[in-house]
Amino acid sequence: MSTWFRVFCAVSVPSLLAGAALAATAPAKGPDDAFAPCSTCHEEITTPFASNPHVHEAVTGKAVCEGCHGDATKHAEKGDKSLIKVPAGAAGAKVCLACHQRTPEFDHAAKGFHASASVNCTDCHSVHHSPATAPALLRTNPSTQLCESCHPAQQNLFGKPYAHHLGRGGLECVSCHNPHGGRGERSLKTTSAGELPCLSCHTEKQGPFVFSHVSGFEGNCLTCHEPHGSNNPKMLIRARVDQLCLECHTTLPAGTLGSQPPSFHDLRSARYQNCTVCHVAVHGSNSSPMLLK
Amino acid sequence: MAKRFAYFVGLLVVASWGATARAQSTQFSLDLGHQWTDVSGNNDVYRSQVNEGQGLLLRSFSLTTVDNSDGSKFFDHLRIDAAGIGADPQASFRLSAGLAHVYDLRFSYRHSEFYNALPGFANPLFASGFAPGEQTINRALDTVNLDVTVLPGSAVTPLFGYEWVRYSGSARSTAAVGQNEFQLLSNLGETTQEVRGGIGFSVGGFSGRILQGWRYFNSTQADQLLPGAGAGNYPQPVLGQPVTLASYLDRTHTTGTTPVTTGYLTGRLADGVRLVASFSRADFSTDTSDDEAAWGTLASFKLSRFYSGLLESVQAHAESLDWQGNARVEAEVLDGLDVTVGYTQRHRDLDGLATIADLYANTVNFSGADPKNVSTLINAQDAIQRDEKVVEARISSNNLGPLHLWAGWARADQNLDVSPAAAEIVVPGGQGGRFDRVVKRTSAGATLALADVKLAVDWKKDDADNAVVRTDYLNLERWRGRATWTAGKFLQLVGTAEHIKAENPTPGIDQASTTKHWEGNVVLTPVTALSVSLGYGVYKVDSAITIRTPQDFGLEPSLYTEDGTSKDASLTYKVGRFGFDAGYSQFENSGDLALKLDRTTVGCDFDFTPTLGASLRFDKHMYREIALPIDNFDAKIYGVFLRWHN
Repeated sequence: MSTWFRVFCAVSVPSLLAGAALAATAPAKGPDDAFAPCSTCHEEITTPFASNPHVHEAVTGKAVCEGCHGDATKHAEKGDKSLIKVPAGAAGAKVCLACHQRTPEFDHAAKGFHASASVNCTDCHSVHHSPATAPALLRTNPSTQLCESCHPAQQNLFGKPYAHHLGRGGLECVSCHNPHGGRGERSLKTTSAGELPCLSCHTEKQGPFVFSHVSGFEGNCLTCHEPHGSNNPKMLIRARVDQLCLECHTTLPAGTLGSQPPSFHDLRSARYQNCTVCHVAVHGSNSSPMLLK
Repeated sequence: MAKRFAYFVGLLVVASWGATARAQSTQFSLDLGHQWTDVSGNNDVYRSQVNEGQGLLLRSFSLTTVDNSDGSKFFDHLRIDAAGIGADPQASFRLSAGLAHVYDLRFSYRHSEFYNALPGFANPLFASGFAPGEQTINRALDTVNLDVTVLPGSAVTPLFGYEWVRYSGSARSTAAVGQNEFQLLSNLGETTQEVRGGIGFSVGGFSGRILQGWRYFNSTQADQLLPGAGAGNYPQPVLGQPVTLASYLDRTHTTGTTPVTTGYLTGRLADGVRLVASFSRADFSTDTSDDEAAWGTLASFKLSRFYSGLLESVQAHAESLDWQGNARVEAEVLDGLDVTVGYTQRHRDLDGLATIADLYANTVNFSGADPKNVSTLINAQDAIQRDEKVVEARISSNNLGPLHLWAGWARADQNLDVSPAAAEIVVPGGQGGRFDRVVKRTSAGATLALADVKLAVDWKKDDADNAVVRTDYLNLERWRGRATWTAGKFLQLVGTAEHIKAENPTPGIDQASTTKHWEGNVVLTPVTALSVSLGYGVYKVDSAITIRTPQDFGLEPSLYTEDGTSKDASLTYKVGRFGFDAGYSQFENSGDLALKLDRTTVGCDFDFTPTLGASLRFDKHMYREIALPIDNFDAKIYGVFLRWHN
């Protein structure tokens, strides 16, 4: 605890104090300088936009608004709405991606699940009207509310008894998922080594182990666990541990991988219904071929 | 903790005050207070499921400031978010700051407390009234992450990163020694650090990045006999002699290094043709030393001897190489018709070597004769290699107005080689060999976006020629659908449905499973100030697979069912300075592990001034298990919070 606190202080205290001092002494720059001529008519948009991150990305010598809305000269002269570009829908997404699609995080943003006429950038983000406390100009804070509005089924899985504590302490859907990613496993945020996001937190299960549970190779955490939430302890996919183990550990028929427990494992005894009491290192071991420690 | 909490909150308040002293474009909010808990019933199960504590709590803090002024400065944008600091077992802090074209910095910290102690889990003595089970955890995870980008937006952008993860704390575990199981106290201290650096680039229509990281892992676990647990789980004698432990100590130390290389490239090959390629390589390596000393009256069927002490020393080394490469081309072949073709190759191998030296002290055979010390030496070698090659293609339309159609095809060739350690083999068969599997996937989907209605459907079907492990399917089909209807701001209806069917009809496996999941949500907003939401869901799982029971090698079906329903309702009302919200949800499962879970939450907010207010919170949890009432609990959580915002 003390180490993290020192690291935290070393990074954040100078930043905070310097920022506070700067913000307290810096002369304010009027929004009209950057937003002219748009601010003449759209002050309700341009004034709060001064704290928008796009202000900095648009420092190109042009007015800030033109970065996304294009040349506003004719629109400003005539006031005709049809003479200004308003990025919206799938076409609007292309405007966003022109700048944002440069990193692996946005790898599938143009062709991914959230890139269609039904769902695209502006369904979740609002460049002008995001709540002040929302990160990444999202329409809601916390971001989970956005995910839940389309994925209520997944939301309810977190309501099961044994579940990740979604919405608490900064744990959000985007802690594990990349909404700009692709389909299936490509929607997951992997570790720098390409591992499932589970191992970002559950580091003790990373290995490699001399005696690896082969599920780490043929399968993954989801072979035994429900990642969102489960009725069963440890977020397992079965209520009884021996049932979960035996579904793989039955040598019938030949040709599948998974050894058969020896006959002294009498399942009629409670002793053998609790496999992990003895096989404690079920995720892998460096000292016991039987995963006993 | 309280002192540290006070410093932390003080720091945030000072920063808020400083940043807003000349507030040109600063937004902040702070929600700080105290919460109390009142738990009746099983506190261990409450902590395993909910684990909210009592004390000071910073529910949320957010500060965003932008400095558009001319002249020298350290940053032009700064954002701080914090949540759950104090009584919440999940806490986070995030800071991002930067100066346009100079640097961009992201720092995050997360603290998570893991508590798990359940009466029925890993508890062979439950019928005898012992609770909780023998595997409990009370540990914490702390994660720090720092990423710095230098000269963002330039042609070449240096990148630096650092990650620190600490997982530590106590647990209760078990050790299988001398034909008995004994409860242990376990202490774990584990640190993972990763340093990374590289460059990003954006040159001539191509951009990407190359990162090199080094991960270091250091873990020490010390186990000792739980006081009073020397009789073990099973006090019955073995061949007339009780099996007991007088002392047990085990210390495991593992260190590991993992160089990680990642690369990414994207760019335009021609008009309407985009290339995306990525590569990653991780070279894992761990070294472990494990020393175990157990003293007592013990028995070994393997040696056919009684003994009074076991000294075990293990030296182990494991190496694993993971790499994967992916390249795909996205092309607009016709106006509004996109084609994507991609190829992915993944490789993972493991080589493990362990030398396990055991000294059984003061042994005698089961007749009480032939006293001597017996030593055994096992050299165990393990190797696994997995390769996968995936070819995929996807076609999609994007100029059919509100309609978007897509279809995909993929083929994955998977090869697995497993060479088991000789020591692992107890019943012949199933421990190793070569396994090949080809999975062909066909998928399709459509979305329709009309003015008030959005419809989406997607389908996929997997066909495999073989199963590697028994729970692998040969056929899998999944349907998903979603419908949304919005009537202005007054009404929103959302319905989702999912149906998954997987099977492997191979005689002896006979696997069949179905998952059905429906949800319906209605959100009513009759006036801007009032919003009411109602939801109902059904979640059903039916799974069957044949298993062989070890004691008689007889066959029986392993059946598992879930039959869950969820209901929820919530209401929010905000007028002027007053806000009120309430929610109720109920989850009920009548399948295996039948249970009922009710949650109620009520809160109200009142702003005394435009920037200062207070809120009251009340949460109630009621958990009932039908077969195991000892798990039941009722928990009430009360909170009073001060809200400060601009």
